[in-house]
Amino acid sequence: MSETRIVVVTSGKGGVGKTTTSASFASGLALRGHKTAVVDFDVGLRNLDLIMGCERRVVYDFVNVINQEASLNQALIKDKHSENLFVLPASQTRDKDALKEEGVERVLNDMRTMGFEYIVCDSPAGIEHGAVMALTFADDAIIVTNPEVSSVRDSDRILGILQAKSRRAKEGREPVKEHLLLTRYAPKRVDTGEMLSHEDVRDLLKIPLLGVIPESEAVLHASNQGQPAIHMQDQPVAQAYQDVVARFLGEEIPLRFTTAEKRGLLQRLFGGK
Amino acid sequence: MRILTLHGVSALVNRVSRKAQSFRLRGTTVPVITLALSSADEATLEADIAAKVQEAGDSLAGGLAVIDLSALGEAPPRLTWLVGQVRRFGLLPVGVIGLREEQAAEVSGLGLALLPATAASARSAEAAPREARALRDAAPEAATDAPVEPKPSAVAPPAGASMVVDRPVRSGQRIYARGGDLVLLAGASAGSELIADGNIHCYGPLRGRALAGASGDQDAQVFALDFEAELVSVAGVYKAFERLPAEVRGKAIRASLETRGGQSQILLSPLVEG
Repeated sequence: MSETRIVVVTSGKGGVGKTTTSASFASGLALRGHKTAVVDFDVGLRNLDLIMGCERRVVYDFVNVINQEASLNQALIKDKHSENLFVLPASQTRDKDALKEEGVERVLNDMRTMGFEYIVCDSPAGIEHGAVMALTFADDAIIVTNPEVSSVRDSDRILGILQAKSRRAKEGREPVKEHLLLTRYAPKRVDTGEMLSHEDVRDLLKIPLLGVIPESEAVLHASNQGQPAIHMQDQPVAQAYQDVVARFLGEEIPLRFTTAEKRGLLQRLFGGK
Repeated sequence: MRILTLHGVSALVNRVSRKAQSFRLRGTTVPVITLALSSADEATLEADIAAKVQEAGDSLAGGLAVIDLSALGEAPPRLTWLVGQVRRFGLLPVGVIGLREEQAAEVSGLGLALLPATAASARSAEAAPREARALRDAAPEAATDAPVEPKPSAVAPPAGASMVVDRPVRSGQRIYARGGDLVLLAGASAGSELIADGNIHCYGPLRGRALAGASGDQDAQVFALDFEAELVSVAGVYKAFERLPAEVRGKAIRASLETRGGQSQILLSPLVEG
């Protein structure tokens, strides 16, 4: 059994695509055969189960497990697309204070012993308790950022919190591995100067780029259908998320979808960049 | 109206050469907060100080304070009353600067030292409005440790170890190199705060606020290879940049304190001349 890696998907700012990313990233890992769990830390505003399309199967949630009112096996929901993926939904009726540090640690450790290879923690927005709990036990952090100044600033802030409050930092172990994920990227608007380019953002945040997810209507459709965007066949968004998962697992894959579509033969032959 | 300057001035205890077994007399420098008055009206002072006390919280508690009357053109308020005002910050009053002779007896009665007006205190009184904000930000951490740790002064260059930070300083992070230089190898993001009692050296982009000479060293400087700072300050005199001039933005720049005709201001110049 390989070791468990805990991956937090975080951003500081709201509405940048954390839950979309958590769902697609966890699904991508599971599709590649890794036993994966995705945990919704956004207690009080649960969304992950909607995007995963399992909202009607939620009986027990993360807070129930923390309070030992239910077992992990009772609360974990098996994904409809993959045998390897389990969803631990957030509670709708509690607030984030219900996330006690000892409780969160115990649940994550129990998941380790259950043999999960990856535990993806979907962080709430902000820098308060819920967000801190989501990143406390992380080994890796995916910093979801939109190519605009305020999102970059909030990502920078959350990187500082990661360095200060994660267990790895507090115990002086190897720091949390940071990955930059740019979402809602519109190459056309980058070209016209309305949006920061991925080079700009990388320069500002100084962390390695894990991927660029293009802005797409398909994401909205996917959410409405309760289907992670990575399952949308032939959509650039799905391909971009597959690239992200592959890069996370150590494969070298060139960036795609970072230049404006020109619909020419050359464009198709030579791909994105 | 600004009536209050919080300024770290070093009080120097004179060296005494005498051998003793049971104790040692040593020269030492301790940062002192100066309450520099520009008004003698007790009602105005009372209200302004109340606001400042609220703002400062207990960040100054335990520090030493000197009451500076040298910039005051009129008769000063009652000293016993002033001492009470200083105590509201949790500060311990130790001396008075710029007092008229007729009040000198009252000073020793209160157990305070009568200090000569120095160039530093005169300068701080003049530059009060410009300094106040940067000092307020820089003061708390410096002041909290004031009584226990000897601090560098203008007479002795900073002797503390420098602090080297090899990761980017993020928005919302505050780094204080106490008693020495701060060296940043990976730069500092917008919204970060860098404070050093000595110089600040930045080899990556400097996008945050850089406060050198935080406990009063006017010779401290900020050196940056890629200058994009939001604010720079030396010994409490600061300059904020709402928009960086093109000739400094992204350039290798040093920021130092320039004093001309009693007025101090931040001077930006190329790191390498020519």
